[in-house]
Amino acid sequence: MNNRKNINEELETIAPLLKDISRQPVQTVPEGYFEQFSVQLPKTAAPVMSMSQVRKWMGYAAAALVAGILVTAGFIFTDSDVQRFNYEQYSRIDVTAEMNKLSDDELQSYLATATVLSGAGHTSSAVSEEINETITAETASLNQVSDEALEQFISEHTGNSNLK
Amino acid sequence: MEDVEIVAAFKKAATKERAFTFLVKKYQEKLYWHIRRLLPAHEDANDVLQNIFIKVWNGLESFREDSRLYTWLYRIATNESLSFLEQQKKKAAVDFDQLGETYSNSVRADENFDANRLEWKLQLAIRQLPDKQKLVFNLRYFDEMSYDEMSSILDTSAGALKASYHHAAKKIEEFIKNH
Repeated sequence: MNNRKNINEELETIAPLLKDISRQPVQTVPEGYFEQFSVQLPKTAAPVMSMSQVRKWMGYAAAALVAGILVTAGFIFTDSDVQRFNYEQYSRIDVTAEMNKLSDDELQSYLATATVLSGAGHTSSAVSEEINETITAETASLNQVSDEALEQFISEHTGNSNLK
Repeated sequence: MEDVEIVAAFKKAATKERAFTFLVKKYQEKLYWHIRRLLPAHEDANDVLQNIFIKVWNGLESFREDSRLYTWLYRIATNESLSFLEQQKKKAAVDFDQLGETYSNSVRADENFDANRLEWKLQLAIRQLPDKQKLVFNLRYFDEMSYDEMSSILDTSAGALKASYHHAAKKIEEFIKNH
């Protein structure tokens, strides 16, 4: 900043009357104005979120909630006994040894129950007997047919008469 | 605290408010009188001063230290004051001469006004000048700035400012001699 001497020298040449006038302010200022002066800074406003943004975030929240429910339900239903079934454990069971531990009464009781459940006359032994009887009856009826009739039958069905 | 230190302290969160308070205390009176010489009413000058410091608070963070804080503050104060004057003119829908008369009346309305004192005659003479010329005269005569400093505030060449100041000083002297 230039000092007053330089300015006054300048004024001396252009407007000497101004050189000697006091530069002190003359206007009235309220008492204690400068001592009490403080700047009223605007308070920092909270960031304003538009309604469209609010709706967007609410949409995301709802989507997240639904996804959470679906994932949780998926775990509940798929993480069932089927997945926990331990095939390896059952493959290690010695069936013969386990059967030997059973008493005759227990076995008879099981067989009686199994017969009831599958229907009378449908146990595996009964089925075998039925099959054997059918085969025996068919063999006996075939023995009664002559060789010529058999050859004719084969010829008619295969087109080959020279079977021998 | 030097201006460079004020700016550096303001840019740190921990010392920002303290630096700003120091800046306000250091410059409030100089800036107030700079405004008040352009706007005669204290209330107007106070409003403009508040706005200036709010702008300083918002802008000092990005203040480039290749210019001086002192001239930067005066630049804001000058622009704010001129904007205020423009608004006043538009609001009042009066031309410059009418507004100059209004301002002269407000000078006379001051409770300390004494028509015989040179200081008051000087105030009345300054009120007759166009805004820009008034500004140049005030910065040189009261704030004792060099033409280079004024040039950085007003974006006008030092030569043009010198011519404007000389012209204003002669008009003021003439006014005082005639009143």
